[in-house]
Amino acid sequence: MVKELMSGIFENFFLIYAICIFSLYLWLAIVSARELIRNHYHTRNTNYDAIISSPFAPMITVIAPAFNESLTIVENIKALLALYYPNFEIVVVNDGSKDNTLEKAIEAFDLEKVTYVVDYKIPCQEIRGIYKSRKRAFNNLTVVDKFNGGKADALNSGINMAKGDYFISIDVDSIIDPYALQKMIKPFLEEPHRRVIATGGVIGIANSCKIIDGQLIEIDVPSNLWARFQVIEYNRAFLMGRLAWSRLDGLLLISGALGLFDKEVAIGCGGYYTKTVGEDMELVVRMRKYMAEKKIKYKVGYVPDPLCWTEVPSTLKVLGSQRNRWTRGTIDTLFIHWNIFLNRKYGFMGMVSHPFWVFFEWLAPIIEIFGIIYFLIIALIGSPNWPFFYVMLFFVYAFSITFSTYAILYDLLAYNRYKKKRMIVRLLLTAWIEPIIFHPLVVYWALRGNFDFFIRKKKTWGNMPRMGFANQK
Amino acid sequence: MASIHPKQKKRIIYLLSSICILIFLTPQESIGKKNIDNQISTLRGNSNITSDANASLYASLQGATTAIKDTTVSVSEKKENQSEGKSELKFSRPQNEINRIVLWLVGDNNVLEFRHHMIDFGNNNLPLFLRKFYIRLVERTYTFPIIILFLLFIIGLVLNVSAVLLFMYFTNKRKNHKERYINIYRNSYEEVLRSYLFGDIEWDLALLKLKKLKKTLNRKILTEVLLTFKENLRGEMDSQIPQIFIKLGLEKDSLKLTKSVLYHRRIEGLKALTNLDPENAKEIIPNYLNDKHFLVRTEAQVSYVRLHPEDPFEFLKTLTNPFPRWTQLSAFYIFRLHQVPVPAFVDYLESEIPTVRNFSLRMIIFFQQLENASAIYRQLDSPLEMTRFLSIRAINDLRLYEGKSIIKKMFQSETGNNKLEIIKAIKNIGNNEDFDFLESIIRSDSVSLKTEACRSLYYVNNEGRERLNVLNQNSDLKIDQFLTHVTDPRN
Amino acid sequence: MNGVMRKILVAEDNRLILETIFHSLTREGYEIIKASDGKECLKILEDTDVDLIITDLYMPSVNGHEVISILRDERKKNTPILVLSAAGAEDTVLKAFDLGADDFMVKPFSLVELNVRVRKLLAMRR
Repeated sequence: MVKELMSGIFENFFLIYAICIFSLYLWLAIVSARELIRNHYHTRNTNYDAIISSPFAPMITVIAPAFNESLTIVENIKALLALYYPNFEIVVVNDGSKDNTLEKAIEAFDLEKVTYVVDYKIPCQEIRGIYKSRKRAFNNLTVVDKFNGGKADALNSGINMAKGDYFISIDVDSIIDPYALQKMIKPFLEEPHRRVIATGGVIGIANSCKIIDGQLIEIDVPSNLWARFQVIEYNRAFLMGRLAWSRLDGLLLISGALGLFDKEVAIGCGGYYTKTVGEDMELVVRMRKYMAEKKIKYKVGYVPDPLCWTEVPSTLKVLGSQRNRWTRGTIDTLFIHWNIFLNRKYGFMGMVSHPFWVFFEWLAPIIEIFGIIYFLIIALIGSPNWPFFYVMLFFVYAFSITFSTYAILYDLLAYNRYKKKRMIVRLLLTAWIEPIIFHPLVVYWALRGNFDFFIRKKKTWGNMPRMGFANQK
Repeated sequence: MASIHPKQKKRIIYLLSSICILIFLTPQESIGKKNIDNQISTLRGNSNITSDANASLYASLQGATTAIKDTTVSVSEKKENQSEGKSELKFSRPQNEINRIVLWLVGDNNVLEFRHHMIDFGNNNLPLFLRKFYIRLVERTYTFPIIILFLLFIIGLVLNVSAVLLFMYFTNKRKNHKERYINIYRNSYEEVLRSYLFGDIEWDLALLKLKKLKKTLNRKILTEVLLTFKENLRGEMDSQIPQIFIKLGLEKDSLKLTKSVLYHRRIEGLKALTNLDPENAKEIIPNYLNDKHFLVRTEAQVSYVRLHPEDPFEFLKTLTNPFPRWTQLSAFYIFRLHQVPVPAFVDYLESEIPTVRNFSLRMIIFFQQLENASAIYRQLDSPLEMTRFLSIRAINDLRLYEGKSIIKKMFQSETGNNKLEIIKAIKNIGNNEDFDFLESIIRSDSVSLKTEACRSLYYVNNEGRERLNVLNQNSDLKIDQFLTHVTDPRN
Repeated sequence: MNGVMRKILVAEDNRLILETIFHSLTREGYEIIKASDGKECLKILEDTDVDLIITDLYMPSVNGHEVISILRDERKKNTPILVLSAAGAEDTVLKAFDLGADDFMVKPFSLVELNVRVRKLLAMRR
């Protein structure tokens, strides 16, 4: 009897897998809903006046790596200088740009080169020069000029220069909400029993939004179809996925576009790892491991407000290479830290998060393609149970669009971001064609990513950076 | 050991059990995917399956073999004993097609076979007390074929989506309506109150103009307007606004809110009372200082600071929960805002709660309270890094020269951050006898310690600067860069 | 007491405070122009000349620090500027003065005090 049961399960593997993944997503959605409600009341009753004028607000370093950004660098730095926080500094890292990024910054902010002894707490490419402003109004701005080393390396050099106890890593061309620092530092100051090591936020999509002078004026649904698909995707991921994970204390990924970290812990575990393309996820996992190994109680927080707005790829080519990179980054991180898989020592992360990511994030596209192949084979050899197949297909489709609809609903209720009727209708229509058009593309890109990782052993971002000589003092 | 939080454990158990139940629902439909002809041939061969009327029915509808019809007819009499309760089958030709479809949807003989097997398994292998439940469960789940279940699921999902859409539509409408309503009344109340406060109109006229105060929502809007006035303006209006609050009887609403089960309502009530009805607030605040919700506690503690100018931080002595930095910030802000007289924070330095001790140290540093330095020295022994850090900072900022020798002794065994703090302290309270100490650090390897030591030696006094120059020229230490670094005030 | 009414521009995103300041200063005999964010403030100042600017710091679109910086550095105006903000941290205040503000008041504020400071700044200007 058991044998029959076992063989039945094997044959029904795809169905069981589908049921598992759907029920898990459903569960995450429910937990997220509760967390959204809880967070809504929490922020409504918070008075931020205390922190904007407090002499005890902890110092935050904003690290912005820049590579070939000469068109917009001055605007972006100006926007950063206008953040609403009483005690912060900005470290812009010019990662060996080939254009005149550095010159433009020097001119706009009246910078001069200073003699500075850099403490290379984390090894990074050699720093060519440190620039500070002659004007008092820009005295919290530092520009680091260094040899090219990639984003992770640039972030590491920023950490070396950071004076604050906390640092926030951003993409210099994304738009940060002026209230971001206040909101993201809050979890660090509220938690009485555990040490908060990192906080993430929600990323909004800035395509087709009205942006003037580096400030977001009006939000709109992107007119580009691929960007619209990504809006739905991001909503699902941020509002129904990561919220739940952070509630369960299993959040593995904080987006590289917006993340606030405890500097001491980041340095303690060695900073960003430069030889991976998924450095944001890798750092969070490593920081969590570090705290678990030291047996210190810790927490990874999450602020569900959209605090950062970024332009997403609007062409298939760029989008494809981005997803390819994400896949390779995910696999890289999962494998580098394989020792936490089902390891009780690492708590929820090891027992649930990591296995979940392995089975339902990494393997999902692979299992899906095998399922389709299996069905095609069955279809060719014998006559399959067509009604059953159609029913299953429709079931999957109905489930997906239910999910997306709920994601749009969550966003509407929580933030009222896309509030006009026309916007909601557009989003809904996009959600209804997503499983047919966008999802297969995502699966394809993920498979390409797997292929590139395992077979072609591709490890870079796509262009070969110039490697300088890492000078350790 | 980093163990899973008990609440999470519960959730995981729920999740795993729900997955197991769903797996239970998995039929053997891979068999169903196979050719139905195969099924019939197996069944023909295996005539022992008597519990299944559908098997014969399949056979009859597949082939043209009317011979099986007879079996069907006879079997159909037995059908009443079956708990299938499915379609009554007529054997007329045009209905064959419909029957075929119905059977595909409705009957899956292998489900029944599987069910039979599972019941046998249960009867044979399971202990008695589980058997009953198991059998009942199996019977329940395998009564309805899976496809019907899935169809129901789909209908459920479709209904769900439509419900969500309708919900979105109506919620949006309601939200906009409510927003407009609130805005209209808020503007109206603001104008009336402004005219009254500036003396343009008398109270009676104002009362007339404040419409619809019988509705709770309107009273809430009015309370909020009063709060905004009070929070932003100072001066003579300060005393008038609480009077208005009480004259209109709004404190009853706020008192009711403070008794609510929902924490955000408690906060709303407390906030209104603290600002607009201090006497009432003073009485009820002590009940909320140790409330189970963190934000309510913060609100109550911050209100306490405001309402007790004689001893604003007495509540620290009776605290049972930690005093997190956010609350410290908020309490300090209100404290400064309302210019409450400063108590001697050294009283709270011996608290059992570490965060309270840290807070006291921060306040002592900020307000330069030099009394009772020995209490500060005692904190240098604390097991917490932050407490020691703040004590060293206190010795630095308050220029407690006697503490210098103690912190120098601590230096070797301290953490990196605290070592930096000790060196910074030497800059302000050091003298010539500390030069050797600083020099030894400059000769060490750590870049950040070296930099800080150079800075301290440079700024401690003129002889320090000379000593640095001597060091630079004579020895093989290359500290030129360090010197330039520390003399630039921006670094 | 002069024949000419002094013009004051008030930039503040909180409607209640904006209206209250408007009300209070109008009674003192000034002509008040209202702006609800930095952008509007700068736009108004392109066409009209005022005698005093009262501005908040943390406003949507263009914030107070930028307004001051643009007025002083780009447009080279030396109109007196009074900053009225809840953000009273030392760095923020110093930055405002560095950029060219003439006075700084922290919220919550007293209307009487505001009147006095306004009068003083206008007197100095003459």
